Amino acid sequence: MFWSPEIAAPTLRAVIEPAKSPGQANFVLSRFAADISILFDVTGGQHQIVFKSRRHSLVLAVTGTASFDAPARITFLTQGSDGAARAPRAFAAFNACLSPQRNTKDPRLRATTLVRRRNALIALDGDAAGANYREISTVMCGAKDTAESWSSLNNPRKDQVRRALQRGEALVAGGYRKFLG
Amino acid sequence: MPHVPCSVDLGWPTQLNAYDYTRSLAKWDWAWEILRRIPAYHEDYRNNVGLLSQPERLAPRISVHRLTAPVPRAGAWGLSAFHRSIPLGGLSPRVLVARDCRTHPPGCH
Repeated sequence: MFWSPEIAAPTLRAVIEPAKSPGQANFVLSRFAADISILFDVTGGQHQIVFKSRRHSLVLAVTGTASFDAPARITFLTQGSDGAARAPRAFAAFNACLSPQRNTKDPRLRATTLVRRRNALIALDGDAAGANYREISTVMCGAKDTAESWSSLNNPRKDQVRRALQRGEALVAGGYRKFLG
Repeated sequence: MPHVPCSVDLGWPTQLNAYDYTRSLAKWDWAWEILRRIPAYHEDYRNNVGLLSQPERLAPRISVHRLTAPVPRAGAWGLSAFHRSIPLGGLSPRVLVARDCRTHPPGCH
C-alpha cells in the first residue's frame, strides 16, 4: 500500500541525486533487508519509497532524479522542531529496515490490543454478512464460551460483541488513520 | 437496510481460526484491514486503480510503480495511489484481500 507521507509515520523526507563517484554513493536500495515499493508521481520528479519488513515500515518521501539501479547519494531533510522530534523514530525504522538484525524495539502489539482489534474485524465482517451477535461471538470466542455466556443472566459475550462492533464502526469512520501515525 | 458482504473474503460464519493471521499484522496492516472493508473505498479503488502502471521489478524485493495521472481521490483515504494488494493464496475471486497472512491463534479476552 502507498500510504500518504502526509499522514503515515514514520516518514523521512530526502533528496536523492546521482553519486558523482562510487565513493560518494551512500544509498543503495539492494542493501536493505526490507521489501521495497517505489511510487513515482506523474512527473517522475517526486516519489515515495515504502520499506516494509516483518516488524518495521517506513515511507521515504523523495525528490530528485537519481536512478535506483545506479549509485546514489541521499540527503535527509528535517524541518523545524516537530521534524526533529519525529526524526529519532523515523531513523530507527530506517536503520531497522536496513539491517533487521540490529537490536531495535519490537513494535508488536500487546495481546489485549491485538484481541480488541481482531474482534473489531470479526464484528464488522459478521455484521456485514448478516450474522447475529451470537454467531459473531462464536467466531470471536468459540462455541463453548458463547453457549455458556448466552445461558447466563448478564451475557458478557453479547456486550463484548456490541463493543467490538462499535469499535469497528469507529475505525471504518476514519479511525483507521490512527494506525498510520 | 440489507447487509451486503463487502471485502470479506471467506464465507460467513467462517472457520474459527480465519482471523488468526491478524496476530502478525503491523500497524499499517491494521489500517489496510479496515480500509479494505469500506465499500466507498472499493468504488474509488475500481475507478482509479488503472492510473497506476503495472509494477516493474528492479530486484526480487524491489518493485517500481508509476502514476499515469493525478489521483485526487487517494488523499481522501490517506493514500498516494490505489494499489492492488496480493491475493490471499491465489484462491480469492476478490482483489481486496489481505496479504502476508499467517496463523497463530490469539486468545479471546
